[in-house]
Amino acid sequence: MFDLNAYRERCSELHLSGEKLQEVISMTEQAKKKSARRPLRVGLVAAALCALLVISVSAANPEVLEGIVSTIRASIAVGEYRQDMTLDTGEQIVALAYPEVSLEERGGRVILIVDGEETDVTDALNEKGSYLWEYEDEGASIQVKVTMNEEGKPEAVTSIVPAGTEIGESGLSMVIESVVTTTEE
Amino acid sequence: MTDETFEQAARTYGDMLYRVAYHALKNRADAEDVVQTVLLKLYQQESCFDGEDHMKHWLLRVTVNESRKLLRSFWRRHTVPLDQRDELPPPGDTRGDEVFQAVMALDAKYRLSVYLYYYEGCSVKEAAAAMGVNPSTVQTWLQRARDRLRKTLSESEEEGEGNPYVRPERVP
Repeated sequence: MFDLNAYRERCSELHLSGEKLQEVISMTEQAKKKSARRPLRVGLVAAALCALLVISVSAANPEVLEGIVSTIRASIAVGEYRQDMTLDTGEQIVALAYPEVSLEERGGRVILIVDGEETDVTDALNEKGSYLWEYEDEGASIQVKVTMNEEGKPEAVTSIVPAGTEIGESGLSMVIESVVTTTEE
Repeated sequence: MTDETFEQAARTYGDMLYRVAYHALKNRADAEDVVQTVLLKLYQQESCFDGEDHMKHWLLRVTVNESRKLLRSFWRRHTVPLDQRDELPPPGDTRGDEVFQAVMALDAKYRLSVYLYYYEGCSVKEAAAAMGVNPSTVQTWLQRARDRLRKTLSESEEEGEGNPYVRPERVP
């Protein structure tokens, strides 16, 4: 039998280490001291966009990422998926982060999940052959296009570009494909 | 959020967040990473909470989401831990250890449902909100989790009863 008290007792022995807690508290204090998230002036943003360099924060280029992280002087969140960074050398970098995208098949339905937000795309796939999820804020434009691949399985392609840039026309957009998984409901 | 409010919230909810993440990920280091991310999001949260319950449920939801993100992440899916297995406390001989191990052997969604419902005391509706699913789904998961736990634990009890080795007793 499931002994509830025994389970509760054992769970209450799980604790976050004091070191980790203190580390997080210290991080917030340091962040405040450094004023790393101070807002950029419009002129600076424009300059940054002129010298645009987009970095895919992915496993493909960990060395490049490591080098950049070690020289970041300031970082400003511009929207949900974009960070504008200033390096020690004065260079401006725009880093874009992909949303978490996955496709699941549940009881014959195809569910698109973008950062935990679920959308049933079955009807759109049946009627139009594709479904387009779009997001745009002051930092970036994102599209997730779901289509059926050659094997007849749904496939999602994610594209992201800095705000104001056309997806598809820009060579800066990057694409990933998600894996279809079947889950037990 | 002021520094004082944040520190108080971090100290109040740190263990809860860690337990939720640990139930999702079965790994101490990953669970701590998730707690760090969630607390930093709390610190950056600009809108106010309506009260302690609101903050608690927000934290639960964000922790579940961050744990899922980590589970889905490239590195998590493409690397294998050095010891080739999930990190769990060594099996002990207490009833608590046995029950805990049985819960942790369930699928992540069942483990989280059990934890939120039975340990945190969330209602089915609250657990569903934290996990981003329908209440009826959580009810189904809880039912399945109970069935599986009953089966696992009764099997281990039977094995214990059928043990031919008897602990020697000291004769006075």
